[in-house]
Amino acid sequence: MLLMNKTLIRMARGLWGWMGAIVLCRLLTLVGTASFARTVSGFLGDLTSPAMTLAEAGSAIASALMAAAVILAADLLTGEAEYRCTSKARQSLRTGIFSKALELDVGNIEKIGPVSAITSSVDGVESMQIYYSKYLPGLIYCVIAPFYLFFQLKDSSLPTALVLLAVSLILLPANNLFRKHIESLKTDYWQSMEDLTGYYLESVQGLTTLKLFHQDERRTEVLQDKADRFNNKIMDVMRVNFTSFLFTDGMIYGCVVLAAVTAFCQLAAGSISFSAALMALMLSYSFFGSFRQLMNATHSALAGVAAAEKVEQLLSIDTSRPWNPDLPAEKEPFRGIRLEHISYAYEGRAAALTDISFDIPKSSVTALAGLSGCGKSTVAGMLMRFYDPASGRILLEGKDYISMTPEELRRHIIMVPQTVSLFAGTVRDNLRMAAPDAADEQLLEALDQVMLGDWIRSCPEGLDTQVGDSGSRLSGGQRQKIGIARALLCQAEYIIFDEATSSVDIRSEQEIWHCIEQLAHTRTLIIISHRLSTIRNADQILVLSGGQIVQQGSHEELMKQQGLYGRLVTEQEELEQLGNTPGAADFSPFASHAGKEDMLHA
Amino acid sequence: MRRKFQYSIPAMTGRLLKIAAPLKGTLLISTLASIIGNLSQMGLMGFGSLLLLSCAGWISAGSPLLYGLLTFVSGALIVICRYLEGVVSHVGAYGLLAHMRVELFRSIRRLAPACLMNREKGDLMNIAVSDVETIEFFFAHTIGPMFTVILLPCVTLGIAIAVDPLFAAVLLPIYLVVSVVFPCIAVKAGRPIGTRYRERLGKMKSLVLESIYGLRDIQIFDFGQKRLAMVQEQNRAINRAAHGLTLHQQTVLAAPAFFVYLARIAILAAASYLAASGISEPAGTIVLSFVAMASFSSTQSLTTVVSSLLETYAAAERLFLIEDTRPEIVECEHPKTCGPIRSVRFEHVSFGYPGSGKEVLKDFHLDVEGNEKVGIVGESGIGKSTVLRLLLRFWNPQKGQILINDIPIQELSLEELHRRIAVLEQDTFLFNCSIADNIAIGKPEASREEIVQAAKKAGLHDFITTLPDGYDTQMGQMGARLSGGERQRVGIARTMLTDPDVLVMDEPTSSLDVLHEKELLKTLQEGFQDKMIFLVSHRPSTLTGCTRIVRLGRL
Repeated sequence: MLLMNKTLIRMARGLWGWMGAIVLCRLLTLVGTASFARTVSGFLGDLTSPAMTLAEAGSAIASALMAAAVILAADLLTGEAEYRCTSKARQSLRTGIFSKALELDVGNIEKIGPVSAITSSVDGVESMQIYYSKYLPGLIYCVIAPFYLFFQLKDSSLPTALVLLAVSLILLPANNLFRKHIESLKTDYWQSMEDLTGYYLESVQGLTTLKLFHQDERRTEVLQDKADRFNNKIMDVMRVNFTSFLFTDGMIYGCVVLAAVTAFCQLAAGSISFSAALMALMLSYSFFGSFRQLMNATHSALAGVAAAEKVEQLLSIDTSRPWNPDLPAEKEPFRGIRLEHISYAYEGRAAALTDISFDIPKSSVTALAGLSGCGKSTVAGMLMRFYDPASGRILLEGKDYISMTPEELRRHIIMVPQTVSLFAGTVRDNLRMAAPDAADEQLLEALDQVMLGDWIRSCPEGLDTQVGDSGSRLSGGQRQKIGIARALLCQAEYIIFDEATSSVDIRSEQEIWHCIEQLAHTRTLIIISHRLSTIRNADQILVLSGGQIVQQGSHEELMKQQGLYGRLVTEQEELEQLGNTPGAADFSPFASHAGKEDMLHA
Repeated sequence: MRRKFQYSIPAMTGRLLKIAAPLKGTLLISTLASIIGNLSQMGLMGFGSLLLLSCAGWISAGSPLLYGLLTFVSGALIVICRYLEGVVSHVGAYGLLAHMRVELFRSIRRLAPACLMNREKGDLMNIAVSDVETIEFFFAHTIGPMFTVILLPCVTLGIAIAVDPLFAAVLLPIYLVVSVVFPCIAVKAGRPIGTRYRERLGKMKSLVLESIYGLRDIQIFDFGQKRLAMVQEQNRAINRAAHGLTLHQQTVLAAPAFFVYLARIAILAAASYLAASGISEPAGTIVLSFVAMASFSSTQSLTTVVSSLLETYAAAERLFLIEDTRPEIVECEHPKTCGPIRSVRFEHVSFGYPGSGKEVLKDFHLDVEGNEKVGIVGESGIGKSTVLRLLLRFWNPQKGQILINDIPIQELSLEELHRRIAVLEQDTFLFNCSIADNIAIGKPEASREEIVQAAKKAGLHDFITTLPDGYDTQMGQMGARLSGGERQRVGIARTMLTDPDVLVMDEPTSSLDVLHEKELLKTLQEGFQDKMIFLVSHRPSTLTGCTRIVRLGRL
């Protein structure tokens, strides 16, 4: 079947040489096969004439052995060439896909779904490389081989040779008739596979929740349903596939029968020798070997084409960011970050920020306060340039954000999000993300600052302790602390803490905030915190509500105004007062209760 | 380094066949079709050569018409059998696969949540989708060809004996090598190669998955190039494994073909020898030579068998490993019912996570009665969440026991336990369905009104009304549209909707602002006045309503 795919062909750059090599190796096999057939049919034909000498037989056997050895060598070489081709394809495809994935922003990931990205970069690539190593060379070989065999056969039996050539030439186009049908089916197939895969992944990830709510049985039923549906889709594709096989097989084996009959007639008419008749039968049998191999490869190539479409979808996402390096820096730059008339809305949701302007002076602490959903985190995302504002501009020390690449910008400004992500590897690996050259002492110091020093020293492996997949071997608080330590190690001038300590235990939280206060001497901090007591000492506090700044000033100034800030502070104080009633007044309120319920730990 | 395999090949074959038992009929048909189809290949060549021989007058028996007809019949049978084999075996195999996939999920379910803490998620996915598909090969493409590999050489040998025993004598060793010795060596040598390849592919998947989920942090620290380098390094590892795999496959393809050529040469040599000795069997030699050529199709089957077996065994091994893992928790056979929970008691409980070697809890005591509200505090990683997880019976304690209404927790059904104890986790997992369905996860039959009530109580209602489709708004795959606080409130609404005796909360307010925190506390006070509550929190304000505080510390 003819499966030409623009995306795959375009991505084949650099692979054609190896594909050519594969075709050459296979042609060499073909030459060996033909010469073997010639030798054997000659020998068998001569067998009937008593004239054959032992010497002749010996040389026939020797040349047959030679041909067999050539075939073996050519086969093995084909394997090596296929490997070279696939390894190159894997590397370039995965690099391309992953590089693209790295450029995606949060919104884009949502659009394509992470599962899709994984399927295309792992399974997809494996099926795509089969297209390059098996299918395309097979196709080229399929076009050349019949002509070669035709010339080998035409002297033995011209009619047979002509019939075989004619059939081999119409086989491909005829098979293509099935293609359209399969094309329409395979989109369905791929979709239901995505559906199943996504659902499966989600079920595994959310399994704890499912079990707790006793929904795992229902989930299993739906899964069963989806698995069945996926199988039906596969069968639809398979059925058409097998029908096309039926057609091709019919043509191929019909031809062999026809060749036998033709050779018989010619032999009966006395127009060809017995040897030639044998040769015709023998070659007709192996004439379509190339097609059978191509048919086998088609099944896998089909998956490759479907995967390529997914990959294409991923690669075609516009990840370009506004970038204009020629924008002149301001002559008298503001020392700090300046936001001018920023507006932004998430796709499909009401405006998150409306015409916001403010300054973040260097070497100061700026805090953002407000109820959840007021736009604090959106401001942080803007400052990190996860998004670009719909209107307005941001200047970093006089340089427009869009005159820098996001990477350049993030050398100056980093962020500790509410939930940090760790990556499989050691604690050291995770810390060194921010400071690749940091010595162990520095790493330990940073861990001390986030109150993980004792813990890491108690681990037998120390800094080499594995954190597990996405940090799954650590508790939520430990993960977050490592994330904060990572930021402390980073040399960026601006650091955003976006609810960074909300999942950290209270004792550590205090220590960490103490550390952050120290940090304020050397860096510019932007702090988002629900705990208003932690931002009390900020140089300026911006209060957001409904995507706009409603109050701005120092704690004292804001407390004087009868506004949202004052209300929030009062509410929180009341709550914390309440919270302290069962214990003492300070942060160790539970010491008095320890006597009542003494928990002892190793 | 030699890899150790958990299962022997016969054991795995037996297990796979057992799985296939319900498909006996289908498998029988496809196997028969495969055998007849391959025999017809030999018929096609054999009768074809007889046709030519009869024309040349080398044989007297049978007419050209008969041989021509037989040639045609053989050709037709090949085509029909190939089609039949393909369709029938695939129908059976894919039906079976749907079943296996779901069974795998059941196994994971049985092991969860304990197993999810140490098995890489991407790896599981790989097993579920790709490995199970690989096993399709076993059912669709392996069983028939396995017979053919033995049968075709036997038929060829039979004809050889009929022509002249010398032919059989020279062919026998070659066929022995190609049908018996070689496959055994190939399977044995290739097994670790296939396993390595699949494992590395699984690792790649985990790596990519983790990168996508952690993309924000990667961007913050401009770590993309490093991650890319890791992907490339892993890819090189895959390539190295694939090199072995490709060469192995190619050898498996080329070597048997070479042996068949050798067989055909041996026939020539034997014929020459016989001719030199004055025994001339030209007709027999020619027929044999053509039949041997057609037995080539059996070596092609062999190739499929060997390479697919390798992948199949590698995949099956991982599948069986999961299936055979002993679950941390075994459901009690005759569970007692505890009725409404009045008391919870931890007695001398010690616990460490399997494989960590560290004890998290040691001789832990806790006695809670009636509607006590217990706040649990302590440093991160000290074991606060562990206490809750043990109460929910994610694991069994290694020492001591947990009693509910004086009944050991092991004697209760998990269903009752989880129905009576609702939990609010640190991070609320959102499913890719509407927000209403996400709230109603614990009570799918809940009416919209109930859902709205629960959402109101959780302080989520106003937010939902701002969404484009209100309660029917679909959550994206990552739930990325919702902030931490919003997600948490979905979790709170979930618990509000079910009516538990005990509420277990792990940092429920960590992502709430002060007003919402206050609302939640109010809700807890009103809605859970007469219930037992376990609450892990580091916020003093959240612990407001607690009647008792338990502090965990190191010795």
